[in-house]
Amino acid sequence: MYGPNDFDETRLDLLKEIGNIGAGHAAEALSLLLHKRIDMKIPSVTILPLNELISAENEKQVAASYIGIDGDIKAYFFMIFESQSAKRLIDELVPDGTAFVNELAQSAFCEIANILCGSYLTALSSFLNIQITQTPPVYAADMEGAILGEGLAELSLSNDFVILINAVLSDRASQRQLKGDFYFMPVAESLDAIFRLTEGKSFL
Amino acid sequence: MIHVGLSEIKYAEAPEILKSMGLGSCVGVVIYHESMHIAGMAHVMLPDSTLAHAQSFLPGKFADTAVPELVASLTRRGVSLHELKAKMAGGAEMFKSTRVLALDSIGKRNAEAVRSQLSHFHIPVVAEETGKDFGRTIEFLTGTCQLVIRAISQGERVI
Repeated sequence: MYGPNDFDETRLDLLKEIGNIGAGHAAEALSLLLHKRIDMKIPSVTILPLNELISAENEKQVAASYIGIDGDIKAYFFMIFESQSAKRLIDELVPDGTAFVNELAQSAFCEIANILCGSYLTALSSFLNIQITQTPPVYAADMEGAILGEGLAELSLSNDFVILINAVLSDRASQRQLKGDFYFMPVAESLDAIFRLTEGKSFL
Repeated sequence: MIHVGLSEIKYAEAPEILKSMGLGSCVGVVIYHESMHIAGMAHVMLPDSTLAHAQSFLPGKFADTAVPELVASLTRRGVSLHELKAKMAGGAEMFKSTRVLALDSIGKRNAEAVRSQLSHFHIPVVAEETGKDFGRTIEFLTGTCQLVIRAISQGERVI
């Protein structure tokens, strides 16, 4: 079984590179959806112990979308935006912008999660040559700790850490930026599989 | 203010306050002695330690290890078992629309597991607020033995 110390620089770079390829596809899909040029960057990929993940900021109000991943690997995917950023993101999609609580806004948010998660998974599956399926996204808006706590409950039976992918979405015309957190959390056995498959691989 | 993080157990005496932030499906359980103003709080994440894959884990993580640990530690401090009382909150279901998690309604199972542990030790649950679909932050005031519950859209309640 692998631990956080096995994530050497090369492996983190690889995960980041897979993220950036996914981000490229996601930006294209979002640009089509929003009818404007959206860029997406992955500034960092970090490994976080579970107990640090839910720490001081866990009362922060967020909107989250959660997707289950199955197939050759089993994992969880969370897209989390602070409430204000989530509102702006949804305003872009549903410009009447009346409410962030209404169902249309929620499904817009979930659709973005679907696109971003799907793009990441497509990049990962073609790089590793594996089959992956994903469940429809579900939505929650509340305290970050409360949302992550539930999502992490099952994962915490076997893992002590998660992979955090920071992402920045920007509107090329207005230069406005939206920061979101993406948590890609393979269960322990799947993380082992990813490591085996990436052994000796690189983009060079 | 003493913060009780995920899977942790902490103890306090008057006038200290025990606090757990952002309880979703997790359950915050307080076992206390009313006149001695001594209390322990656990931030329980899962119902049953037999589910654990790992050999070592914090006792506060599972309902069936957290409650016995709280009881053992409080009685070691000279509190008699039959005078202990409990209050609890949490056990919500944050993602209710579709079941994607393999563990069905983990919040409900957490609350049930804590209750059954408490009844095993014959500790009465004096007050509780569990279930629903929102996150909670709780504070236990050892001076008055009140449990203050806050949620984003629900305001504040004292039980």
